[in-house]
Amino acid sequence: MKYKLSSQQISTTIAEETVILDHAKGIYYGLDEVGTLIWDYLGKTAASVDELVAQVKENYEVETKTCQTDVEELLNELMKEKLVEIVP
Amino acid sequence: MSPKTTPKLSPTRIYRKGERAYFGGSLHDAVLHWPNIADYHIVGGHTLSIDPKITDEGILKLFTEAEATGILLLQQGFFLLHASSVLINGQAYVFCGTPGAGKSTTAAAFVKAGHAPLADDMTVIGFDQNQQPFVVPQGRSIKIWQNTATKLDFDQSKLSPCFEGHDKFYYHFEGQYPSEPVPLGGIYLLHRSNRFGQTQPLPLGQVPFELAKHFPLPHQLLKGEYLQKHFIECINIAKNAPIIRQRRPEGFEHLRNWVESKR
Repeated sequence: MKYKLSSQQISTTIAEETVILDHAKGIYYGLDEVGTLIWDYLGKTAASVDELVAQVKENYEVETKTCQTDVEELLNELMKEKLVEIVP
Repeated sequence: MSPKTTPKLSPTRIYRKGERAYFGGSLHDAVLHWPNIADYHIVGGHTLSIDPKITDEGILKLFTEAEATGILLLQQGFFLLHASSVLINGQAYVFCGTPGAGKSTTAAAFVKAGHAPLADDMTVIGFDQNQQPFVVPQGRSIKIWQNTATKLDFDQSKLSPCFEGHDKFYYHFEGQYPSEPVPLGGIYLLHRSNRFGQTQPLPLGQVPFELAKHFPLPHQLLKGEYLQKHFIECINIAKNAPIIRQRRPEGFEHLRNWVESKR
């Protein structure tokens, strides 16, 4: 299963901080450094949880299991807000 | 404007002289309705028509130069802030704040110290070919409170009534005035809260949201396609000029000292 950014948002990243606008709902969101890494990657290409975990592990020293939980949590939140969607 | 063409109106959060404004239509074909003052129809960034309900030209001027003109400027592609701004060392400094935070008083203190006012109530920002933000000077007059004028030692003979309230006056700046747009130097979000430090840069993630709070026009306009443009322009401003939360110096003496320190 792969994830991608939805079309109801636009975003920008400056200095490892991302701000997202959901223009359908008129709501702003912010992402921290790790969130930004994941978001940027999804901005380039659709990706699976495993690919995203690999990306994070390349940049941060973190246990695979913890990392996987964190990535899944973030994806769930982003899915709930419809900022990210599953590639059909 | 014939009744046939009047779109459905909804209340805005904008009040002036006890009147509430109503908005209808869309960004590029907008109707601004002040029930007891005038109806404005603003189209395509080129036409502003007025259907007045009163004859007092001073009051009509006050209303026309505010949101109605703002909508026209928005249609022309400018970015607008409910803020005062002044010229300091060749750059435009913009003061935003919730009512009572002291934006017009701060601007008045700078004007008293000899800095040209660039905007009184609505700051007009544009972008050049390189996306660098600039502020369009709006004229030499600013509105100031009687109390501010007294405390900051304004020459009382240079004040004229401004129709907005009994204790508010126009002051006409007589010094050198820019004829061209001025590069944006920075935006201060003035506040009086102890939650934030004295001077604190605004995190980027908060910029679009904070600047949206100071959108001076009907909130009905801040949606969909225009909201996306607003977002992109906010980020562009933040990339090119500091945006700072600034606790406003308390009292006129401290304000004067702060102004001196910026010269």
